[in-house]
Amino acid sequence: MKRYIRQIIAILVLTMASLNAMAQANPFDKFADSNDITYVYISEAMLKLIGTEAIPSINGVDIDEISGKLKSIQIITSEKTTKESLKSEAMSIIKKEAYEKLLQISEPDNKVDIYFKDGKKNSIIVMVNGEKNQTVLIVFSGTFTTSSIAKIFQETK
Amino acid sequence: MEELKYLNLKRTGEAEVPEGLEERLSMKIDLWAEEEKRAKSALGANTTVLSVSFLARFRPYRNIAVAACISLIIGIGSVIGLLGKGNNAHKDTFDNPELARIEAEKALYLLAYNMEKGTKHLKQAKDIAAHTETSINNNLKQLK
Repeated sequence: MKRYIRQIIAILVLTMASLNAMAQANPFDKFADSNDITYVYISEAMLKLIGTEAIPSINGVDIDEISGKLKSIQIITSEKTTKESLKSEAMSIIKKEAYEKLLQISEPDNKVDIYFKDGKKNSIIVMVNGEKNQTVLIVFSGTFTTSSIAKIFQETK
Repeated sequence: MEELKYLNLKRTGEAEVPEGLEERLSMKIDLWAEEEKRAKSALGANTTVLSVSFLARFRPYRNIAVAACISLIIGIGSVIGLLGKGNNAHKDTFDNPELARIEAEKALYLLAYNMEKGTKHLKQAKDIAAHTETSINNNLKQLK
């Protein structure tokens, strides 16, 4: 009897693991169908077509390490009414998925937080830009690693 | 006439069990068991003979089968759900590469700008710390 219980538990664990793996695809995809939220998606194919490697260094920050390894960009913008709900939903995803905070800039009318999650196949950088009238989330997915991010900070003059 | 038929049916009550059915059934079951025994002895002890008792052997696996079916249904449902959601989420917003390039550049520029802004403060703090350290060292040297 114990053997059968063990087998049932093994099946359930495998199922839960596979469901968990599927759920980890990209949690920010859910905003695609939200009302009063503008969702922009730029695919890997489009990024290859436009060649983001050519983006010049900005104020001494060379983001080639990221732009060359991008798989997609999602730009999620709230309306004034959905500003707070978008921010709280984004923060709950960030907390749940254990994103690491890279930096935080707090200014009187603008607050920016940048988070990073290193994945085996796909890493994600999330920039949460809380402005006066809206919240803007920019999600960069790609094959960049922690060392790619470290290089950007090292190269910053 | 119809009324009469109805009355007759009602009067019959419960259907009668044919005489000797119970004995005949148990005899048949004994016969199957004997046949199974004979087949086993003829083919060898390790040979599986498909019978009622053979099916009964799988009864302990019922739970596993039920769990597997539930898992399969949940799995298929989730995949269908995710595919449905993914259709909109992973659909290019721009058909025009030029517009996509402008948006991608804007996003990357904003990332670089904020990274620079954040690290600039860090650099300033480092410079202040370094300056303080040299001032302290110089004062200490003068004291010596």
